[in-house]
Amino acid sequence: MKKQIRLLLTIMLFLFSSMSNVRAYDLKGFADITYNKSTKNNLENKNGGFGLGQYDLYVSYPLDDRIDILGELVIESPGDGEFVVDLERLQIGYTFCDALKVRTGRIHNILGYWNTSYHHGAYLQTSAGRPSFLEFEDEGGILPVHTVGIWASGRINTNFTDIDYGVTVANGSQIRRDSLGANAALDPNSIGDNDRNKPVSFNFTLAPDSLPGFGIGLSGSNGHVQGFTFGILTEELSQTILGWHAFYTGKPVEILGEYFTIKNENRLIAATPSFTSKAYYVQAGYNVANLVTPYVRYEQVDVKSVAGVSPDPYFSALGSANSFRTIGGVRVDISSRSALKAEIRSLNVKNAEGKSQEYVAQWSFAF
Amino acid sequence: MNIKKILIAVSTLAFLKSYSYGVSPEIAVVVNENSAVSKLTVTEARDIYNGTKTFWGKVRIKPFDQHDNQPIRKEFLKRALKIDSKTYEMYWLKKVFQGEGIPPTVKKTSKDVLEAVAEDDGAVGYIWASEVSGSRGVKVVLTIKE
Repeated sequence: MKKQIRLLLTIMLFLFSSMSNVRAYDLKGFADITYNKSTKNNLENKNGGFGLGQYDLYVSYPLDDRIDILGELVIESPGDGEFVVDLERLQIGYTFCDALKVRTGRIHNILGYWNTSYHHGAYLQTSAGRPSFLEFEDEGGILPVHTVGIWASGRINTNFTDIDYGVTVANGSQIRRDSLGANAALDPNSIGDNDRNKPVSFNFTLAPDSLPGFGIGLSGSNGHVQGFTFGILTEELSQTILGWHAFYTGKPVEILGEYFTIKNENRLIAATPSFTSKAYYVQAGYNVANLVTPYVRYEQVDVKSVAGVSPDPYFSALGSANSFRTIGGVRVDISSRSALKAEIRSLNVKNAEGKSQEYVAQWSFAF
Repeated sequence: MNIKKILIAVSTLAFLKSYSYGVSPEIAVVVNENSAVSKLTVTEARDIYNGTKTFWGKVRIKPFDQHDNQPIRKEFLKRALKIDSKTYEMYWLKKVFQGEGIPPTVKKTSKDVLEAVAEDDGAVGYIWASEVSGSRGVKVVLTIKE
């Protein structure tokens, strides 16, 4: 595994260095080290322990006045002591004008606000972690946060407000299980699609001129999701995701909120009801003297169930249940490129997992 | 009233007025002399330096910033973008990570900015208004007072 990582990194560095005018400091990144202690009955964090977060390397570079590229590699441990290298993003784009840029490649799904604003950069976000339902696919996330396809985006200026928009046509996700038929997780289908359906996603955000830092918007996605167990089709769903987001990131106050409805219809079993589940969070912080930001966040996931019928098949497959989590924390910007964060998290999951508390300390940085 | 006293009073007032202007110098935004742009608003300057306006027609805009150790940078960010250096740096860190733009190129001094703007038709930069005098290849399109 270590040899494979070294080989992959060598290839990537060679590719980037062979481009003219690429200098060492054009390679940027984020990383974090975290201490976590949890009252959950799992081996990882029960005794408390330090852990390496994601080591995120990215290059964002113009090839000429209109074409630019972005490549992002993340080195992380899936929890088994080994490290893997994930190609999180690889995209190339052409800018026609400020109102239209077209990109293709592996991109952040444009649903909502958090996913495109922060993603793998823990330093960029106020809190130590993401809202639970926005976790990455391989960490139990229930929304497709990556996708591979074509993305058109831009900004339109009007007299009163800017309108930021995005539309994607991309591979749909599938629910993939391991060789034992367990540990189901969303797979964004980065190297090919398992069916013909290509979900269309959109995101519109208004940013009024009269209130710098404020934005409000709508996003959504419509497609099919298939799930497989030992290669056999076990789930087939029509899925419609709708989201509302609002944010204010002017100083000293920061307020974020997103609300998603996820409607799933079972295509495998005829005449079954559809399920509309919900997931949302709201977060607020207050920056003091450009140094300290105390914050709180509340998250909730409501999985729809119908009397006499199993709960939402999508959420069942991913092992996600009704839950709510409250977080209180503080961020201290000890330098212009690093921050210390400390959090107390209180989680209540309506399954065998039950209630738990988590204590987190993190040092995150950018370079 | 004694004319001599009047002259002394007027001279003193004129001196104090010029001194107060010297405390808050104007910032000039300059473009290449061949640029089709003849005038910019503060809002347009803000949009250029926050990366939301990147083209003048078919010409790619190339903004030049100054090093953070130059006092003019703090003043320009405060007057045109209404933010401080740290917030501006965080803004571009996020924007580059999102793949949504390339930050302005940083130059060490106003002299370097003037040279860079004079070399490229799409270039734009900012310097103290008093530093424009005698410069070649650039023209002033916006003056920002405190």
